[in-house]
Amino acid sequence: MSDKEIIELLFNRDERAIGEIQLSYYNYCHNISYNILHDEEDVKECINESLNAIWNCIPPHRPDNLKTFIGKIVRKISISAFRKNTAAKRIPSGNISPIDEFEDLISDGELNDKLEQAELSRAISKFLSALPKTERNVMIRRYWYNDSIKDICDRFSFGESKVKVMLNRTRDKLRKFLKKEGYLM
Amino acid sequence: MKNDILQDVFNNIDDKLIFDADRENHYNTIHFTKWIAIIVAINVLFSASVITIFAVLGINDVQTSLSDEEILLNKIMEANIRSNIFKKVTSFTVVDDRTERGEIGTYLYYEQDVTYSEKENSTFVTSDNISLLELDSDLYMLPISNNNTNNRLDSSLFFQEFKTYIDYKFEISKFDFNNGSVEIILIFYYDTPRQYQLNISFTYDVESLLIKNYCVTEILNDCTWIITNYSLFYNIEPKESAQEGISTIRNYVKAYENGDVCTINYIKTNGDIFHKHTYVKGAKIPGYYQPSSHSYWPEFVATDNCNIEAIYIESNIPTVHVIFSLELEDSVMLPNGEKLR
Repeated sequence: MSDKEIIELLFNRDERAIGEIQLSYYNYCHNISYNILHDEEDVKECINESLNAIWNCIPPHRPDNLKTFIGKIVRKISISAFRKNTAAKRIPSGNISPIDEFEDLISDGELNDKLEQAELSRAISKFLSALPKTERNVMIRRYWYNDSIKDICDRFSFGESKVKVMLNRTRDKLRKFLKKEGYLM
Repeated sequence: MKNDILQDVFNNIDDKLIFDADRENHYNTIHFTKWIAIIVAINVLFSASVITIFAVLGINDVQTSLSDEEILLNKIMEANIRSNIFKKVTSFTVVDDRTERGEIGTYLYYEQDVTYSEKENSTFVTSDNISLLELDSDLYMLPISNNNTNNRLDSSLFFQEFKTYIDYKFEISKFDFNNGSVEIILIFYYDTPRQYQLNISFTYDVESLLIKNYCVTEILNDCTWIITNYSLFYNIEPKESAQEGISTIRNYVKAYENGDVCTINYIKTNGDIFHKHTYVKGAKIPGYYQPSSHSYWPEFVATDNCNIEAIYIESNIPTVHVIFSLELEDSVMLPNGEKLR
């Protein structure tokens, strides 16, 4: 079933839509969530919560890109679950998320203004858009999809060191770009 | 996680980038490169007609399908959204005088030079003596001053503190390039039925592309139902008012009930329907900010038993006033959780 048809089912409040989403996107959702949580039970819970959120927000929303829309919801809910688990000490805090490779790019407490965050998202999108396709996709796989280095190596047929160097250089470029654009001191 | 904020920031990067990163992989790139290499090789060996094919493929690859007008429009949109809405808005912090410490929110204000504000009867007054009205804990209304004395206040701008939206849609509902008029709709979506919509219309100088005038209306909807493409705020220039004869008439409105739909007709004194609005059950009827008195009629929720008995519009000054008189049979839940009786 096409995304358009799934959205129509959701608009008609037809519960088959949920089944169709699972059929088309369960693996996609699972990968996103598992890369964050690394726990099957938690992943299952987050996917269920995400399906509920999708059911609640379509309608009124009619996303242009259903797949990415679902991905963003799953990612957001999984990150929330991760934070809860960390707070509850179910997961030891530490450097366990790819995003932490940015070290102190932005420290907690900074950019609390959601408007500034939205601006920063736009700036990062602009930066990524200007990158060569491979660097861009490696970067997004690592920091949006939270893929492991090994997964990226497999996906792109690169060696581990190449991926690490590429990510390191791109992070540096991003840091310089954000400084130049005035987002970082 | 050390970079919680960065994680949130990454969540909102461009959809297309996320989509492409999942769709494309290195194998595709290799195949594409090989394919291009073959085309080039053929090109070297054989005829010039292949050059044409290659050129067309190249053009498609960089996606230049937008017409010049669309490109120009996008440029205008981007410039205006960023400069007029976001860039000039600065955030400042208000200290809660009840606790004398901590932030009670981040407030967005159009002017750059606001340095402090104080709370007075639930109205925040800036150093410029302009009021910001508190609608709920994180929703504030900001009037926009306009230098044009013939139109002293275009509209009111409601600005909600930006939450982490999950998606947004940017639609151009009207574009008359030659006359310098654009209307756009910007909707932010969340992972709940909630959505936040800004209807923005502006006029610009055709030659310089500089903004002459703009107004923003806001629709915040916590309900399942949503009304789109409507506005109860009128921004009528004096000359237009004179042309329409609106400045001399007093319109009144009757609401008709039809199941979940409530239709409001704006009627001229001669009986002609001047304007018609249809509200869906559960949708809010926006309040109206009256600049002269800083008074405000809060938003109400339309129900199937609402009876709007008398609304009148008068525009002997450039800003049109819309005044509601509502009669509600049952209690209605307001956005702040209070019950209206």
